[in-house]
Amino acid sequence: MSHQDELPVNRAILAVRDLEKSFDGVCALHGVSLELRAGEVHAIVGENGAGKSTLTKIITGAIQADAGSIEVRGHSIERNDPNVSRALGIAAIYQQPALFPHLTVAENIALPMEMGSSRQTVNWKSRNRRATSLVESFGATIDPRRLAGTLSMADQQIVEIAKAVGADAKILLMDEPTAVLTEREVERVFALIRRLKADGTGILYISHRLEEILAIADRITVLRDGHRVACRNAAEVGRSELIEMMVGRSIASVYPKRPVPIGNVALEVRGLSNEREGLRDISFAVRAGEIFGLTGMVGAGRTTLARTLFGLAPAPSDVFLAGRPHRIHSPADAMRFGIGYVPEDRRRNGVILEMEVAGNISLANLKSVSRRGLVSARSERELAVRYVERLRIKTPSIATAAGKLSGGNQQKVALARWLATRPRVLILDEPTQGVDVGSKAEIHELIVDLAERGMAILLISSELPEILGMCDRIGVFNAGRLAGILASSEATQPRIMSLALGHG
Amino acid sequence: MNSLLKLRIPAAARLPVTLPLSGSERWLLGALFAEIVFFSAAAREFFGWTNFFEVLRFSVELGLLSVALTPILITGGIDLSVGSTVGLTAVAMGAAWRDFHGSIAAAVALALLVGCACGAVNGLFIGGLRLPPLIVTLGTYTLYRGIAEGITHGAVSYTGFPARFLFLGQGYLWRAIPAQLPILVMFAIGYWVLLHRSVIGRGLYAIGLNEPGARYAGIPIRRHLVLLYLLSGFVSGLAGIILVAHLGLAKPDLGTGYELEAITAIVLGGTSVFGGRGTLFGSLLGLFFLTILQGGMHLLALPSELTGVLTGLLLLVIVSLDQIGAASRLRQFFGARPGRFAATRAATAAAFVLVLLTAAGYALMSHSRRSGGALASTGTISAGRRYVIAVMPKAKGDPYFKSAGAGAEEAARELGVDLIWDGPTNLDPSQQNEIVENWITMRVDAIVAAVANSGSMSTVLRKARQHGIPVLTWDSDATPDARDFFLNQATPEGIAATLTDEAERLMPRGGQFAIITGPLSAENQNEWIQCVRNELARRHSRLTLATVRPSDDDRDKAFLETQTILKMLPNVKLVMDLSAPAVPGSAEAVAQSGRTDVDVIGTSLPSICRPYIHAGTVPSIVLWNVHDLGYLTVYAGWLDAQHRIAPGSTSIEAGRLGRLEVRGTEVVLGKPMVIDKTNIDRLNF
Amino acid sequence: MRIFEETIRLARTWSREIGVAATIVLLYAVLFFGGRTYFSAENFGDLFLANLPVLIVSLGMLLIILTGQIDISVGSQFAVCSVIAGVAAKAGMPVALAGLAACAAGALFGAIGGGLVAFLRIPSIVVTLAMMIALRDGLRWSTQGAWIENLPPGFQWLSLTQSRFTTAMAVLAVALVAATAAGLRYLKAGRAVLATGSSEAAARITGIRTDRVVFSVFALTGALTGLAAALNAMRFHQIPSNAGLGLEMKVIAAVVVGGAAITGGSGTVIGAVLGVILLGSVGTALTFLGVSAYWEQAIQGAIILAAVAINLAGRRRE
Repeated sequence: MSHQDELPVNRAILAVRDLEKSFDGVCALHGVSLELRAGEVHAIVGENGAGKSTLTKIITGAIQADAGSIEVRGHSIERNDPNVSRALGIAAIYQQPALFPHLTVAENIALPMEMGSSRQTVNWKSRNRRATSLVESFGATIDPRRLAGTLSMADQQIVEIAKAVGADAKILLMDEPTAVLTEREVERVFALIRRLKADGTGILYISHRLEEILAIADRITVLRDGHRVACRNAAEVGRSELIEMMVGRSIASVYPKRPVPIGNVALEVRGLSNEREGLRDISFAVRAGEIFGLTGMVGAGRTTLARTLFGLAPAPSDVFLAGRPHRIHSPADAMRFGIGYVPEDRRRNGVILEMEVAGNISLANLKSVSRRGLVSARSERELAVRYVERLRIKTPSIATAAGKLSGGNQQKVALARWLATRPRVLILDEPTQGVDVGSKAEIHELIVDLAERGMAILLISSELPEILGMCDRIGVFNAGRLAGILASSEATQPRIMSLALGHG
Repeated sequence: MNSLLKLRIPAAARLPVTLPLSGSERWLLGALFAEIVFFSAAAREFFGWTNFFEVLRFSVELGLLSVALTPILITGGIDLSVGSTVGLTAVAMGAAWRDFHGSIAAAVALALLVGCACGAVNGLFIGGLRLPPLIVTLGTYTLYRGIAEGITHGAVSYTGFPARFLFLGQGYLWRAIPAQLPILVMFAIGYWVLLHRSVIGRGLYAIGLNEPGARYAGIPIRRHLVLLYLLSGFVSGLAGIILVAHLGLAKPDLGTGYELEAITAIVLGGTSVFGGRGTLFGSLLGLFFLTILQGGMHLLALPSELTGVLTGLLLLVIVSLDQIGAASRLRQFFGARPGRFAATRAATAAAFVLVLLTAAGYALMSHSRRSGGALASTGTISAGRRYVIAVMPKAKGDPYFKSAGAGAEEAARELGVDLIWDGPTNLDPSQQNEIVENWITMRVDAIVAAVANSGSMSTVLRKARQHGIPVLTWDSDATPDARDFFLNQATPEGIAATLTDEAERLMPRGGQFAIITGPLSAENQNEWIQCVRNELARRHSRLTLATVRPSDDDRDKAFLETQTILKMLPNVKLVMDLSAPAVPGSAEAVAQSGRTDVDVIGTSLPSICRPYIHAGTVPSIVLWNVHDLGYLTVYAGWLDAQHRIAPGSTSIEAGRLGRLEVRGTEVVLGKPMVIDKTNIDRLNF
Repeated sequence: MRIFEETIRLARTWSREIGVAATIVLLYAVLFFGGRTYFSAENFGDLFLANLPVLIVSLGMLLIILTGQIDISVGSQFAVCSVIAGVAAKAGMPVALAGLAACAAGALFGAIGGGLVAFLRIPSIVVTLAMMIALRDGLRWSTQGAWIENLPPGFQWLSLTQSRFTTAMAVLAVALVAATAAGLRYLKAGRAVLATGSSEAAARITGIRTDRVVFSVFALTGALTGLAAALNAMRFHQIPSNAGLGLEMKVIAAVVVGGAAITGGSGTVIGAVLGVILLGSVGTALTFLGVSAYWEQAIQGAIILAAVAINLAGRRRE
């Protein structure tokens, strides 16, 4: 099935052949080959650990392959490193924008090309000019003198792309570039990608979002356990077929939502505002057993609402829990009132990577595993084992550092921590972001299971199919307000989009 | 559940209950063991309960600070103000005891309150306002020490504490255990529970590993941090009180440099300055390693500054060794890390460690060669009746004492005795005590000490006498009952009289003059200043003392202070420097200002003043013959060791110095000399 | 309107420097009423020379702090370099060459420290703590406190007159400050320093050899420390062996008061210079204002805290 990519070599601007790479005897890549043509979007899909990031790292020269060759425009690279690859016009964009927060936008765009040149000085005027024209050509307006750290995630990602384009990159590696973006921002990035394509840039596109891949890619290479499983034209494959190739089995139902009996109101806010964080006049109620979706642009107020409810950004408004008014000043308050919060950005906020799995799970439950302020190692162990089993967390031991687990299992650890607090209301912020397909399904299953047991769930997501497939009702944010609440029966992708864009 | 636990996740269930020793802890334990074996082999007196407990006594104050700082470092913070807090609480304690006639318990309570206040300020800025700990405590490090100096005007040091309070620092429980030791043990256990067993401790590690992550897990970060810094202030205050009891005096400069020593111990113990990694046990190991190193070096009669060199080198060695381990761990942790890179790094680190160890070994060897085999001869003290005379300067690395040391060496050669010449390398008043304690353990034949703080030194000197070691003092005295004789080069009154006479001679019509002293809290100089004031009142009514400024024994600071005095007080026609390095500083300032109407006099060494005396900027300096004084220390020590200075005798025969007068229990070297153009070139010191 | 907005933007960008400058102005205003004799060319000249070492070293320290590291061994390096300059001059080297020897020694110490930090990845505070102790006590051990005396006649003032030397130093200081500022802003290497401190991961991806950057700033700071030590020694006839005690604290305080973030990536040369001016002025200013010597240190500590708090208030508003 993998013979369709035997295309004329001369059209490939990048060709890797028979790459082998292992770490400490564990094989990460097994003779992987692929070709990228000019003006092509070539997607790479695969579960976490399939070898996608190893492949990109070898191409950018961050690490060296054990065997195999890399050719750029027909020239074989003897010894690759980041400088060599950049000089050859290869640029990479990662999931988290890798910008210098203290430096200006113009400088962020200019530095990579300057580092490649032999000039020892920098020219600020031309830097600013060039940055302005680049950013404007993307249809964005960003002051080139602003510090990159003060930009929104989407703007940062746009600066990342401008950086690559500015460096005259002909080969662009994009590793989950839309992970932190909302649908509308994704559209902006896609428009950009199409433009780059038209200019003859070849793009290697890595993503977990299959809808996106099917929308933007020309060809798709599937990796599994370090092997190339297939390389297909995007037009010829479907979603389910892709999933099957990625996981090596078929996954029956994508969203396992089941109707469950809805109980009493668990959490209600009436006219909640958080002026400092730009949140205005939010009113809604979530009932036990209900999955309430929250969507909208990043920065429209979804995460701010979660942070407000969890006491991380306290607001001078009451929150009604089971009908009683409470004022939440701190996470400790929120926890006392039965609210749990699994944040987005799992690696930074969700789990503590260097801490062992057991410690991570017990971190929000120290009260329940301790007596008179002293932690009982035994209760802690039991708690951890219970949840490792219940969530089927794949870990060699509960004493393993959470950072060693795969993204999906890390996310399960974060979930376990909050499930163990037995919350009445659980806020899940992008729970499946950057999680491989298998784990994603398991997490969805778990959410439904929780709802079934009577937990009220607030599910924040940018992925509309997930929102549509999982939620009973959907609240759509626009510019700090709740633009509308839709029942799942009346919700469609276009309706949500128009609400999110303020055309409600 | 239990069977499940065993069956399903065999390895997983073994969450480490007691944390296994980390890499650096293992290295450190090995080093500690090697150290003990080495010192036991090299110095007979080292291995025994008495020495063991003495070592522990000296580690209590520093131990408390290390214990309090460990969790702070684990949260990724730092507290540089602990040493200054020690000084401030000590002074508060002393002031409360003396000035407010409080009961000792009330004084202790007040001091602890001051400690808490110091900690609270840090906690408020760091925990409350979330300012970077390094900067905040850098500020309070200066602030607290400054307040201590302000309260006491630098000069006051408080003594005369009641015996039952001093017991806390000097007494023994059951005749063997230092009285303050249980406090350290108690706090170590308390902090161990807090850090490794309590709910709060979990939070502290989480904060250090990933602060946002900890916040999202509902850890009350602000509250934890405020608590930690508050506790750190409290424990520093307690350390200050114990130090006061230990030394029997309270001064504003107590605890100087303790913060860095404590941090050194903690880092040695494997705690990461970036937070999240480290144990209390490691910190204590690091502390004992350093204290034993210090004590062992003293017992081997190796100079104190070599301890510093070794501490620095060993710190790098142990951290590098840990790095080798970390490199391989890292490889396991991030599978993606290229193995070759980690291997290269481990190899580099190993090579580096080898180089450092060689350097350390070379330093030791070359020293033992240089000092004529002090290492070897310590073993033969009693066997060959080759006398060992231990002489202590007030500070090492001071030109004045270096000159005296040359004289001491001359006498040692002449008499064929072994000379141990060692003293503190910093301002820490407890270092002198520590060295004397080690000399007692070594059973030297005589101790001749220049006393920096008579209040604190008298106690330990008395102890030396109780152990049958003859004790003499020189340069500045202890209390009379703490020594057999004082080698008196000149009395404070005599120095003050000579200096004011010189001032009067240079300003016959009277006028203003300024004094530049050493550190504001130097006991000796403060006594001189008082005597100068007395002289002015008694005999020189036309001279007025316009200002007293500190130089901290730093030539460059004296220079700047003199410049400021010249501009601000144009009527000052004479600068009187009471610190040896200050005279050249002031002289240079006067010379550069072009003011020919201002003279500089003071107590200083001819060698460093020679150009200025020749140029006339410094008409004269007042000093005794330092070289002879150094000679006398060893000679008199040698005589006393053989009990050849009978009590009540009126003179002694001191080698090339001839017959010296003995007044009461003071051996008089002679009058202070006025050194000027006419006689300076005849002096060789 | 445009100009107004631009002014606001500039004021925001430079808020920290403006804060320090305002503190200096306030201090000078108080002096103007309380101790007018302070304002004389002679006094400023003296203050300048006295603070020149702090200024020179703080330029290097700024670079180190910009990369997110710290060096607390500069005081000890300073002492060793002074002695080396003296020994070299006494051995018959031309004075300028002796100065260079001190620079080279400083660069070597900096390189050792920087090498350990950059290539072995040992935290800089640990490395420099160890070097601080080892160098200081090593020097004490080898000199036993003896000063370097009988320096060759041309040593003081570099064979210049005192006022010419001061002028030359002023020119040198301005040149060094300007060179550092310009280098940081216009040289690729300077931008690499900021980039390394801002985000090491991003810097590596951009192709910056961050280990070399860190190594270089340490070596450069060592060389600057050597230079400062040599120049300071040249104001006198002799060289004490305990120079530079506490220099590291003064320098770090100046850089931090000048608004550099201790976490790296943010800070300016102007800020550091202003920090040196503020802290260098305070000591003598208090004397001129008639504050007792005993309270000086406390007030200095309070000023550091206040400057940091003001700084923070400025940053929070952003």
